[in-house]
Amino acid sequence: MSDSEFELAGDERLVLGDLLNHVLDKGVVISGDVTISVADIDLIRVGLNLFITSIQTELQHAVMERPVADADLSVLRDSGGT
Amino acid sequence: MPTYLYCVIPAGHEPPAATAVGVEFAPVRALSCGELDAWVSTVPGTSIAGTLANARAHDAVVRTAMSHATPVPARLGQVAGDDDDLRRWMREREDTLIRSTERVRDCVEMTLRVLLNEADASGGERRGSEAPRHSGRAYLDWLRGRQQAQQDTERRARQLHEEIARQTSGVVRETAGVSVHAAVPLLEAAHLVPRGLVARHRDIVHAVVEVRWGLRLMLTGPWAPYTFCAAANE
Repeated sequence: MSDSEFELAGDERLVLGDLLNHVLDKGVVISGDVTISVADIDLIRVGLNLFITSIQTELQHAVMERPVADADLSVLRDSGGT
Repeated sequence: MPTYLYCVIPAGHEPPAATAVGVEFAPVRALSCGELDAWVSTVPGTSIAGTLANARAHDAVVRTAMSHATPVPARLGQVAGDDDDLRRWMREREDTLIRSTERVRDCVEMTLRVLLNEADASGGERRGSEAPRHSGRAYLDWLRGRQQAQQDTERRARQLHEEIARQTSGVVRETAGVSVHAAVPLLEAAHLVPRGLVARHRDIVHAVVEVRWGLRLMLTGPWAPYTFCAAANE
């Protein structure tokens, strides 16, 4: 498969949201300002503390209310990363 | 020095020098371990900055690996103490990792979302209405109506999912991550699709969801098979 065949399809914002959804999964702190929505529905939620997770992961782990103090990946490691 | 993991791939595939820049702008290299290679970077610390740039860099490396073979992608932030630690981790899971590479060989992941009811999704009156407070009976009626609406949404989602599964049975090797979010309302699923059938898969899903059901389809991909490779994230 060439690189051109492997380009992403679909709406750019949705693709960005899906990129985060695939890459993050367990939730991670992102230092940035990203809001992903389609048809006024937030698919990826950005909290005031910039803790991002997919809606599905949020429902599975119910961690959206968990306070996050610093912008590193300790959350990921604590939840079972290598 | 800590070793950052992007993906595991069948042995014999080196990252191309021209595109081999990963998280924290670190060079990407292959780390050999038996029948498998890991695509890794040496990073300065045991955690990497959780930036959008690093998320994109991680996926870009995995995407480059996709042009060589089908990798088992890791999630963002998988850091081992050093190369030996990572090799030990791979040896402990070698059978599982090899099974994962066989499971996803020559396939990509397509992510499918369907808005089940455009009126509700855009903020319809029922979804935004508040519970009545003037009588207990009105409140119970409101509760029952809300519950009924959610059940209707879930039933509709199941019917749609069954039809999609039926119609795409020839082009989808495996389905995962099926979920219905009644409150949105949204149906989500991940399809593992052979590379050569991606265009056909798009056509079929479009025909079922948008033409036959008249619903809004959001289909992204092809992605590396993140959803089908939990073995690389243990």
